[in-house]
Amino acid sequence: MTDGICIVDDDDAVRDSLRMLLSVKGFKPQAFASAEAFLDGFDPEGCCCVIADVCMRGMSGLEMLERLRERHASMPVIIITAHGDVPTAVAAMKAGAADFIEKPYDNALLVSRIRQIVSLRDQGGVSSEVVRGIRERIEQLSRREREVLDLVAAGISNKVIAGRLGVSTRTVEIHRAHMMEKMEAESLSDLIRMVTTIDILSPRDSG
Amino acid sequence: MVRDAVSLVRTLVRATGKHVFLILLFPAYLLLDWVSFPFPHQDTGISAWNPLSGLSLFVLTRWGGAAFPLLFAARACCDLLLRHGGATPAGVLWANSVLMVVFLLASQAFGRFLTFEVAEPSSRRILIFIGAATVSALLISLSYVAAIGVIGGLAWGDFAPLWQRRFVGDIIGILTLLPGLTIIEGWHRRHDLSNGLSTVTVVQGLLVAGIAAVLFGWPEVNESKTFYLLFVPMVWVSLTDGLLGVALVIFITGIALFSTINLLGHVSPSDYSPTHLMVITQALTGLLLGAAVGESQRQRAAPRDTAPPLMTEFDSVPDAMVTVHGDGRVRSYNPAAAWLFGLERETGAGLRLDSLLPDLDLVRVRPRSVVETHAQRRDGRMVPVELALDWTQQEGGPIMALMARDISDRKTLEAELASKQAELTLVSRRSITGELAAVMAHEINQPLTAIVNYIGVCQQLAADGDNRELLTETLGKVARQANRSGEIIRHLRRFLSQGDGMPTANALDKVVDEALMLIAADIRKSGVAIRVMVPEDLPPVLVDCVQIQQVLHNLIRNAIEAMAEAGVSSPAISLQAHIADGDSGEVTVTVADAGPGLSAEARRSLFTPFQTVKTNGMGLGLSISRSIVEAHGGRLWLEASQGEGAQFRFTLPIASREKDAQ
Repeated sequence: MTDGICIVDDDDAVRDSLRMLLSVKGFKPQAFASAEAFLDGFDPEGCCCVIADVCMRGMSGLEMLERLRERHASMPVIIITAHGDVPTAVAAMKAGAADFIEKPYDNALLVSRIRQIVSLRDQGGVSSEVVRGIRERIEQLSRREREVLDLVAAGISNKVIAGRLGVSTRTVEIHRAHMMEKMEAESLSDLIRMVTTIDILSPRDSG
Repeated sequence: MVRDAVSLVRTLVRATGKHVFLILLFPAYLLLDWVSFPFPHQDTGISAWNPLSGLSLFVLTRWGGAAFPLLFAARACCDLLLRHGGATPAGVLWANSVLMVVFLLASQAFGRFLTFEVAEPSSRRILIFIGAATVSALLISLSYVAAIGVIGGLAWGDFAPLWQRRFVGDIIGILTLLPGLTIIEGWHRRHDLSNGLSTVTVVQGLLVAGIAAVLFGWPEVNESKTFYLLFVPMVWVSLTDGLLGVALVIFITGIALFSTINLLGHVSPSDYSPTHLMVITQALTGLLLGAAVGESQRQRAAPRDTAPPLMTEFDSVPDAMVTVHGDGRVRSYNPAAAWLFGLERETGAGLRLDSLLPDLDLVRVRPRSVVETHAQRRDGRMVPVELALDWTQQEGGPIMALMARDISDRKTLEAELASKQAELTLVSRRSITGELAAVMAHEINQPLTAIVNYIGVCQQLAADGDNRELLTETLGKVARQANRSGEIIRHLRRFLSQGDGMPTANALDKVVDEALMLIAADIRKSGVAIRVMVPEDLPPVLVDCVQIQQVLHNLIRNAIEAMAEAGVSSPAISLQAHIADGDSGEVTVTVADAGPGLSAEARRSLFTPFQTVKTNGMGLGLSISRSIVEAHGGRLWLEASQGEGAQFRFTLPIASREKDAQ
C-alpha cells in the first residue's frame, strides 16, 4: 500500500491546508494548482488516490477525470466541490469518480473515506458484501420509493418529480425521506455513490 | 399759475368730496341767473337766454332727485330776489315750479342720452345727445309757456312767439353748458388730465377768451357778424384735444356771452338774433367735429391698445395661445388658454406673464424651441405644460406669441412607466442578488474548507504534542482564512448596500471584475473564452455599480446563450472599454461575441420589452439594460453587423473632478 495522494485545487489555502492535513494523518500528499499541472506532472506509481476540485480555472476536475480514464490510469479519484448540486454529483460518479464530497466537509470523514477507498483499491475493488448490502436495501423500497430514487439519482428536483409522478411536492418529500432512511444514506452524495456503485458493477434493469 | 389753480381746485374737490358741486350750486345758480337775465318779456319774464336750463338739467342728470330740493330752493330764491316787474311773484313761482318738475321728468327720461361721454367719443352718441337736448328744450319751453298761459299770464295770441323765444334760449343753455359742466365736474376722475395743462392748452384758452371778450365786450364790434372768428380756435382745439377741448371752448364762449349781455349790454337786444343762431351753430359744429376727431383718433389707436383680449381667430385651436406685450403683460389669448390658466374670458389681458408661468425663464428659452414648465392656474393649481414661443415686431413694439399644451396626462403616464421600470429593475436586481448569494456561498466555502483542514492538522499536532512551532504556524493560517471569510462577507454587504441608485465614482475595471465574478460559473460551464481589455488607467465613471454590473451581466449572458444556441465551436467574448471619441466625457464599453449575430427582424424588436429570440427568456434584459444606461446619461446600442458576432456598446459618464473630490 502506497501513501501517495495527489491534491488538485486552484485555491491556495485549500490546497495547502489539505496537504498539511493529509501529511499529519500519515499520507504523502503532493499538491497541484491545476488539472493541467497534475496531468503533466503526476507519477502514476507514487499516487494511490487523487483528490480534485470540480471548479477550477482552466480544465475542470471532471474533464481531468475523463482525460485520466482515457490514459487508462485507474487510481480512484475523489471529487470535491463547493457547488453541491445533484447533476454535478451524478456526472462525477458516472465519469468514474470514487466519491463526491461537498465543501466544507468534516476532515475526519474525508480522511476515513480516503482510507476506505485506498484499502478498497488495494483489495481490488468494491467488496461484493457492500454491493449485496446496497441491493438488499433497494429491494426493501416500495414501488413509489424506487421511482423517487431513480429520479433523484438522475438529478431531478422534487418539484419536477412531483409533476412526473402526478403527486404533490410534499408527497415526494415524504417518499424521499423514507427512501433515504431505508437506503441508510447519510447524504445525497452518499445515495448517489451507492447507486452508481451498483450501476458500474452490474447495470440494473431500466425501470 | 394755471397749474396751481387746477391743483388747488383738485385738492378742494378731494377734500370735500363730490358734494363740492352741490355746495357751489346755490351761489352759481344765483350768479348765473343774475348775469343771464337780459331783456325779459314784460309779462312772462321769459328771457332770450336760458343758461339755467343747462345747469338744472346737468345737476338733475348727474345727481338725480336728491338735488331737486336744493335746485327748487335756488330757483325760488331767484324768483323772489332778482326778478322785477311784469309777472306777479305767485305767477312766477307757479310757472317755475312747473318748470322744475319738467326738468326733473326730462332728466329722468333722457338722462341716459344726456350724459356726455368724452372717453369714447362717437358721432352717433353726439347726435343722440343733441336730439335729447332738443326734445328736452321743447318740453321745457312748451310747459313753461303753457303754465303761464293757464294762469292768464299771457295773451294766447302771443303763445307761439313766446314759446319760440323760450325754446331758443333753452336749447342754447343746454348745448353750451351741459357738456362743459360734465367735463369740469368729472375733471378729478380723469387720469389723462391729471398731469396738468400743456402750454398749447393755455394758449388756446387765452385765445378763446380774448376773442370772446373782443366780440362781446367791444361796443364797436357787431358780434353777430364777427362770431365766426371763434370757429378758428375751436377747430384748432378740436384737433388737439378732441371733444373734451371743444366742449370747454363752447362753455367758455357761452359764459362770456351770457355775462357780457347783462353786464355790458352790448349784445343786440332782439329776441331772435343772428347771434342766437351763431351760438347754436358753433355748439353743433364743435360737438360733431370733436366727436369725429376723437373717433378717428380712437380708431387709429385701436390696434395697439384696445385689441380684444380674446383672439377670436384662434377660437377653435385646441392649444393655448397667448400674445404678450414687450413689457411682459398679456395682450390677448384664446379660449384654450383661458381654460388652461383658469382665466375669465376677458380679464386676463394685462396680467403679468410671470404670474401665469412662474417657472419660465424667458432669457433662457430659445425662440421656437419647445420647453417644459408649469402653468400657474388662477385657482392655485400648477399644471405641467410644454410650450414654444417666438417674438415678432409689431407697430406697437415687440409682441411675443406663445403656445402652450397641458401635458398632465403624459406626465402621469411617464411617472407610471418610471415606476414600472423601477419595479422591473428591482425584480432583476433580486435575481442578480440570488446569483450573488450562490457565488458568495461558493467563495466562502473555500476558506471554510481550508479552516476545517487546518484545524484537523492542529488537532493532530496537539495530540502528538511534539511540534509547537508548526502548530502555531497553522493556527496563524486558520486566522488568515477566517479573516478571508470575513472579507468576503464585508464585500457582499458593500455590494448589496451600494445598489441604492445613487451613482458614485467607480473604477471601471473593478466594476467589470465584480460583474465577471457574478457570471463566472456560467462562463466556466459554457467554456466561453473571455477576453477583457479594460485599462486600469481609465478615468473613474459615475455609476451605480450594481446596475451597471447588471447590464454587463445581461449582455454577457446573452452572448453566452446566443453562442450556445448557435453551437459555436470556439465561443469567445471580448469586453473592451476606452474613452469615447470626441470630448463627450464618456467611456465606451463594448461587449462582442463570436456568435452568428442578429437577424434584421431580431434587431428591430431588440429593445422592446417582452420580445425575445431566446427559448426561455422574458425579453426584458435588453430593455432594462438600456433604461439603466440611459438613466446614467449614456446610450446602449447594437453596432451594425460587421461580419460575425453581435457587438453591443454602451457609454457611461466619466466622473468629474468635483465628484471625485467628494
